[in-house]
Amino acid sequence: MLRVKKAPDLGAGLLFIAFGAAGLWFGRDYAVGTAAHMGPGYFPTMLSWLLIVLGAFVAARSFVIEGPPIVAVRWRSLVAILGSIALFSLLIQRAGAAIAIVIVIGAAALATRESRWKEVVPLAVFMAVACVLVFIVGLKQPLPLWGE
Amino acid sequence: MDALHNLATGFGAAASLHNLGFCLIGCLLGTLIGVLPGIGPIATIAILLPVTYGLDPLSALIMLAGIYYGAQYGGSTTSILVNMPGETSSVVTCLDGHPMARQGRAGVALATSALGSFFAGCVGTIFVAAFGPVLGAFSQEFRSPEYFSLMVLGLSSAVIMAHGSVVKAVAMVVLGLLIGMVGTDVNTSTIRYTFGIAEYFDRLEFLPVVMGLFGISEIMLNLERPQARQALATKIRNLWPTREDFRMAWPAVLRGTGLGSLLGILPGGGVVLASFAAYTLEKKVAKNPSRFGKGAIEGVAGPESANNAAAQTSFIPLLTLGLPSNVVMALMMGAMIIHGIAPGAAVMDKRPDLFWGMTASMWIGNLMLLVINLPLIGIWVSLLRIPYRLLFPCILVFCMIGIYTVNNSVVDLWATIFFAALGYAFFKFECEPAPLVLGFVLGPLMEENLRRSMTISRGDPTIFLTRPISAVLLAITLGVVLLVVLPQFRKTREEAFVE
Repeated sequence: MLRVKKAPDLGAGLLFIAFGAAGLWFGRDYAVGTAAHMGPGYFPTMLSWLLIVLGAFVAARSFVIEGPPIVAVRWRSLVAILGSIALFSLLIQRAGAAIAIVIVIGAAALATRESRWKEVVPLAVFMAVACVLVFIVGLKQPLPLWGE
Repeated sequence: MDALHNLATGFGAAASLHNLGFCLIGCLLGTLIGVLPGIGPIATIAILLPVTYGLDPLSALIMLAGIYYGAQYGGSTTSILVNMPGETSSVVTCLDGHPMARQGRAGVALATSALGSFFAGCVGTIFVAAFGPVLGAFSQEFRSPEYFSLMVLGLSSAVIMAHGSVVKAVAMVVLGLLIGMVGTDVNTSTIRYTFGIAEYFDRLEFLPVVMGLFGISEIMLNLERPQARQALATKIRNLWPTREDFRMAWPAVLRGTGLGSLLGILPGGGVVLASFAAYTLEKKVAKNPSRFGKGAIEGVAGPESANNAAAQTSFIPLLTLGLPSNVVMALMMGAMIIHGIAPGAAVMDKRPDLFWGMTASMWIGNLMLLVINLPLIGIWVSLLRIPYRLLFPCILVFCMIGIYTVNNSVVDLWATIFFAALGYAFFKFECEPAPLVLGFVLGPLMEENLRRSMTISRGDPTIFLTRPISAVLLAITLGVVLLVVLPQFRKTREEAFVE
């Protein structure tokens, strides 16, 4: 019976194959050309196939060699952190830097159970003021202070 | 002496009050982030990149370089005092530095590390000054086939220096090259893999890739680990090493400096490998290896010298060949391009003040670090009392502001989310992201040089073997690859990483 012995390798292999396949699919209209006159598709196609072959090898190997299992994913921090960045991207132009920073710090704090609101609220206000002073007033970065 | 004259020019440029100020800022910031875990030189340089737009190029590069080598100093301070490496390059310093601190010899360990680093930094600077022009002149002979072969060599070494599986590292390089294809193909103006996102018609922005793969995914992974915090081992008393300490440390400093200088130049090498290799070397040459791990002063002196020497010499390939040898150098390359300077041998001819000014600033910076570091240890240590739960939201905000301000574009933030998720997945799948970044940076250059070579040779791939320099470079690549395949070396490589 086939049994996955090294799960991380199977994941990595499939990821590589997926990227290689995407490279071929989305690059299907780029002219390949010849070796002497390479088109825009030549190098990417070569790389995509190479990636698929390597990915297949890594994936196949995961059935043969033993290894540790994949370390469990902690969704809480993953979602909170990536979500904070998404929030920042939505707020920065509409609400401006000051409000965006306060909200983002609050959202990021959800990433861990250790966060205490008594600490997070002052921290958020402090960071908003500090970042405005450093980046907008001091370094004159083109960040909107308040939204439109 | 030409080199001396040039160095004098460099010191002239670097020692202006303005540039000394930026050097100091860079060193202090570097030490600060070196002390703080969870934020490293990669993220810091990336955040500050947009800030340097307004500066003149030399000041900008001096400051960014200061952050890089300053971080090595800061990282070792926390390794010794609290057994918590602020940077990966100082992980090995914990092994003997912290036991020394527990024996009440924290001051001695810190002084050894600072003096060793300073010595290594000086030698590294001389190395850059001496070898830079030689390599630069040599690279004048380089045409497309040579550059292509050089990049093959560079990426192959990056693969070998990476942790873990070699096949996976190769795949990561290839994936990096493929991601590097995003944007307009310069030869035919075909727009590739942009999915209609106008911001990336030129090419995929570098910062979201690096910040996502390193900065942001690092935060998520740190949050998963239990936060172990140890109290400060001891008060720092006598700083000065004894005569016996000196006798034992000096040879280790010399060996570490030599090894670090060489490993720093190697593509894919750099500070982490240098410090690990130096520790292994010290253990090998020691008469009584059992002392290691229990506060052997050589175990501090060797790796600390090695990582600083490597931090200096890793600038050589960038400044002379225009090829970044690690991720930090790729960022420095980005900084140079932002300021309209094409990295490579031409820098030395066209902007000698820049090359030599930067080289000189490294020496000045090392001196500054030596002077400012020991008195400021108390402040650095008190910073460690800030718990990570308060630190990570701040790091995250800095990262986001840094990414946003490069182009004032929200798209870069979305790209960051993508690469952060990818970086997280790579960690779970035990793939190291550094080779991907090098591939990404070199992708367009590599394609360009491959194309030109093949056009010159009318489609005949033997051009890479018939041109002597290119053939030698490929022969070295083959040698490097064989080293991995040979079981003997493979074993030592695994051993080195296990330690």
